[in-house]
Amino acid sequence: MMIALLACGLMQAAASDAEAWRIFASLDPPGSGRPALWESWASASGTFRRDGADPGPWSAVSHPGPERFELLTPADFPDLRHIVNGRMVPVTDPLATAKRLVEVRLNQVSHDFIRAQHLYTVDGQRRAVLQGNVEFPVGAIQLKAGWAPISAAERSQFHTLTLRLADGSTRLFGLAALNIAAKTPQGWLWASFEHTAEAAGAHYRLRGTQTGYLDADRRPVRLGNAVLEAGLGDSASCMTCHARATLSVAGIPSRLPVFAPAPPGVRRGYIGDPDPAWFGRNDGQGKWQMAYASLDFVWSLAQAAEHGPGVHP
Amino acid sequence: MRLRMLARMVCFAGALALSIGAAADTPAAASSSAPVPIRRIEDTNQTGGGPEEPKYGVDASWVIAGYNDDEVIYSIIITNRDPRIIRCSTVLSGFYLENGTRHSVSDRQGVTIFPGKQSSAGRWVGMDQAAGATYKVTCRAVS
Repeated sequence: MMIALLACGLMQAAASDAEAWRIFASLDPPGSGRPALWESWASASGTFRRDGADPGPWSAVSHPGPERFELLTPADFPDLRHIVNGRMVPVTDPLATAKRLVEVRLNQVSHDFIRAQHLYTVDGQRRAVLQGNVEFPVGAIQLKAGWAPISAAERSQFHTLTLRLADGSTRLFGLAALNIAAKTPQGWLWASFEHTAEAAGAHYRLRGTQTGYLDADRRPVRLGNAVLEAGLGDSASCMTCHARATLSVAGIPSRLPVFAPAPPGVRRGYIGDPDPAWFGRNDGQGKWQMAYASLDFVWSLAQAAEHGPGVHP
Repeated sequence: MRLRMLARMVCFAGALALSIGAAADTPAAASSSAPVPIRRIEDTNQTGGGPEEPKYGVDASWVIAGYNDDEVIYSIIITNRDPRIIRCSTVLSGFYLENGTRHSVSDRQGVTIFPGKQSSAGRWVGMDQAAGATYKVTCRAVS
């Protein structure tokens, strides 16, 4: 039995890895030298607009500029100051000093589903979870890209992005990490890619894939990207983390935290099977009281505004 | 995709047998959904007292923000509770990490506040969460 299970685990891992590479190659053909296919997809900030408006059809999808990156900006935090060369100075252009840029993109299947179910606002998400309508279709893909500043000499080793800064100059970034979540007929597949200077040709390596909470030996599957999940150590599991993408079913809208309690300055994730107690509890009379409903593993839904335009509850 | 489906089919029987065998002794997962704690911001003797010292209040707070909650933003707001205009100086001190080494950093900001009004003394980001931060606010009347 154990040998059979081991063989199964190896077969599944190999199959998932092959599929991950197939997806990676389709989204970013090696040696193309052009923007990857996914760079034409809707950004999360364009899909989940601040005003809660319908993001519009795929043909008219907007492509936000620097605001598509998850950055701390003076627009969100006035009077913001940060450290440059050991001194606190005002944050004027976050792109000029960012040590890393992170963005989330969604393909058309994801985008169309979010529109159809009105998941671009919390109000819409509430209605959808209560009706059991949050189940992304097969073919949905969401990905998270991490860019790091690089020198011109490193250009040939990276998939690159050149951004224009507020002062008119440009800054070169290289793709340092790419996490892909793809809905397959068997469920979600997570694949995590990282840049490597050692790889011949592609310069990217597959750190791992994940399709379940536990491995064949019933041990928690751990998978975390060295760039995108830096600091989580061995407490990273794509699937367990994404299982916590939820919305409270009643009262003031809230969501389960991404991270587990930890000492100051330490980040810990969740691994293994989700704890049913995260999502609700027994009322003592044998009835399950759900507190948090699943958003089908899609964390970007947490970026949705609470209401659509003109809604003042 | 085909390879993966084949693997799933082959493994189904084995996984089913395992789940039956393991059902009785599956351990309960320890968990908590509490917020992530971070370091507090501390006051270091913000006022020296005295008859001429204006009355004012200081609200120092922090919030976790940024990608993966990897930044702490410290914020200080000062409220003028004096009938005079006040001028306040705020010094925030803490540490930041660079290439694995911890360095100290300090910043002084000034703000003028009219009677009954409040104003932000500043917001600071990029500091080491684990080390926390300290601040000192001193105000004097200017009218």
